[in-house]
Amino acid sequence: MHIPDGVLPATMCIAGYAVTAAGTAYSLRQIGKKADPRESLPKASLFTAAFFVASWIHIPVPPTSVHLLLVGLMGAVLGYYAFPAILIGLFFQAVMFQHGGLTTLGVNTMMFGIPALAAYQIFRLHKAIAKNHFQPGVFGFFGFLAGFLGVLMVVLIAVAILLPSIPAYMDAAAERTAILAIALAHVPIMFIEGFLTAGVVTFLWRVKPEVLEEDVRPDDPTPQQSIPAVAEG
Amino acid sequence: MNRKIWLILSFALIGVLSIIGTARAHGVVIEHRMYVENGAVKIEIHADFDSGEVMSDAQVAIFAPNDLINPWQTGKMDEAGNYTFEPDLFIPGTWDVQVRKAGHGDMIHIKITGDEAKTLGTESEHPVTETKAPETSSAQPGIAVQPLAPDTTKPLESPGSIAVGAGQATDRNAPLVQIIVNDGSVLVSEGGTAGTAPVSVSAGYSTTQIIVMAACVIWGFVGTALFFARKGRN
Repeated sequence: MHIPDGVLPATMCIAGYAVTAAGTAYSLRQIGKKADPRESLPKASLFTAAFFVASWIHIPVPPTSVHLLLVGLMGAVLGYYAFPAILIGLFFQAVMFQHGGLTTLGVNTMMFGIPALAAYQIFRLHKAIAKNHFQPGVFGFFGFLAGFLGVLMVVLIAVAILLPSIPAYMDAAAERTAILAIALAHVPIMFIEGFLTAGVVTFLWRVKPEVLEEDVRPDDPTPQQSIPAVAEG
Repeated sequence: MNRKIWLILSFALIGVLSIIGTARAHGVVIEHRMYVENGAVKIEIHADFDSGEVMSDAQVAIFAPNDLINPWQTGKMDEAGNYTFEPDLFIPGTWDVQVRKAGHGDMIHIKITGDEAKTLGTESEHPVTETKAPETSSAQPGIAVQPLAPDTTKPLESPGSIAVGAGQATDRNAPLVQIIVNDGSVLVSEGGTAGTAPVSVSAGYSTTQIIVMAACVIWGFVGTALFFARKGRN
């Protein structure tokens, strides 16, 4: 769903950069509130690499093909780090492989970053139910929701951006049909990313729970203090 | 130690993903070729998603150099992702051709000097009976030579590769000078005639280049992770 250069009008590109700047500033401010903002950088960097390559993995959905987005997984695992991570990943995709574009970098970051932050908030809801006790079903369910809804939001934002920006000289009806067709082609990706996110977060929780953002540790009422000690082991 | 294992596993996973997907970058590959038919210079455009899928029914907008706002011509590609137009040779300069479908697309830039009919020749002046590729171009990195039929729908072997060749149209009997343009790179046909197609410099990337570039970027991310993991321990 990367929007390339030359598709959107300049005003929309500028607006995209404005929203991305605000989203990045907000995310960095939230990251700055952590006791050690650098602690999660290795994790953020690795997931940025995964995000960077994800767009190369095409999944055939006849008559077209779509690629993984990973915004739900990024949001669930990285939290507020997801927004700047997506910005960096998209920048490298654009400059190295013309996937997306520099003029549309703001729009694309907004399109991926906002759903990632929303997925993070959705994923955190598991705490309200599981009360920090590891319940694989609950954990997996909210992981699935994060992955599924992350892709859904990306698709909705993309459609909302693309539909009004069809140039007057184009056959608007045909372009609208094509946009809706490619949006529908992402339905399988929603399920794939839902199950992928559920699987990854459940796996991470079992083998290395401190990887999963902040404060949630099984049976630990004051987990924020305990994380650095565990990480050293 | 746990952290090391975690990082190594992640790196391995990313490496595997890279190998799987390196040749499947997402985007649009637009090819164009210029030829003379019945004394008229024509340009044929062919577009694929670089996953190999043909951009059938994609919309085409052609902008002449004297008006970059309003398209000189619009149209729609056929099922095979082809579109042919006849540029106005009295409007020399760089013509922009945009291909777009479902918010995906690209634009290529074709230079028209006005002398194309002369430089490309005519059917009778330059008959070609067999496909021939320039010998020297095969040795150039990033350039893949392959004979091309005018109605080919075969996608390029790799995104960013370039193909230059000369041959005879199977259905038109027209001499060809074929230049394939990828990723918006511009190739100008200068002085080429059938059988002696110009060898152009490529701005595209070969598969090997893409792998190396992707590996460099991925290593940058992994190196950053290792750096901050080390700082964290200290």
